Amino acid sequence: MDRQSQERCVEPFVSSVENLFRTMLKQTVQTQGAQQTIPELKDKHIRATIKLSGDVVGAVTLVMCEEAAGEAITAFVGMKMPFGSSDMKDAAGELANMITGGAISRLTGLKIKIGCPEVSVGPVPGASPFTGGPGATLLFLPFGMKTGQFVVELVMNVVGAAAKAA
Amino acid sequence: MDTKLRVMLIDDSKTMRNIQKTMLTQMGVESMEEAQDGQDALSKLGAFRPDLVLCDWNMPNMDGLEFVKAARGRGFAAPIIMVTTESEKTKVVTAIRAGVNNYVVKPFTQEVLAARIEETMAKIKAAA
Repeated sequence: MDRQSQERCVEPFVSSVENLFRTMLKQTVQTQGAQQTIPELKDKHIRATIKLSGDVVGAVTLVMCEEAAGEAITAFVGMKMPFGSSDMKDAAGELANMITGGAISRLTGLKIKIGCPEVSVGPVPGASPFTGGPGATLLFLPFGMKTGQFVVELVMNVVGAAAKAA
Repeated sequence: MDTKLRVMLIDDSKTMRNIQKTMLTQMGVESMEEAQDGQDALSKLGAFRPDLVLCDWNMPNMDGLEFVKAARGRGFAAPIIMVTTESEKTKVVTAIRAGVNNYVVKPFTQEVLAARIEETMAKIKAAA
């Protein structure tokens, strides 16, 4: 994916995150622009991945440190949840689902199918093991909240006829 | 809002079911049933007999579109509102052709959900 195509992908994800937080969490987030390497997050984190197929093969992963996950998910569901609990994983998966769906609706001209959320909890942040194959783009979109930071990780590879048309 | 509505909520996410339940409770709705996917919903339709169904699209086992086709195929006539991130025009058209009455795109506010329910029930009432 060339630089121009990468930039076209970033804006829909930023808009989708801002819209989700404004609509359902009643919060504003600060975007920090796209980065090529994963920003440093604190200790524990929760990671919710939505796989993409169709014209784009890849994955969208929402990575939140413990503080940011606590703040975001409390605002989302209206109650505190223990970090890493099944309820918190379910909520994180739904946030990732809405970020992905919202962004894809803004990516015109591409037919993309989104999968069901896969959520894990771990002590050390790192890039997703999902690579998207040769030629895939890997970008990190960090966002700031009151108590912490979260990252939307994009692995995207435009394939088939859509790649030729791009 | 008709607070006597019997509403079935179909979503694989417990979080989303809880959020919708809270919103509906604040609208005065008391009678609700939950299902975690299309299959689960089909098995509960006969016993619960909902006046309205709020249905997610992307779910494991049986997705929302398959549920709508199966339910309509069995003669289920109550309105179904898709509550989903799938907002591409061709998908909306596909859903409506399958028997969906209205659409709510996630993320949404309580005001939007209430407006879509009112609009859907008013259309059903006018057509009766």
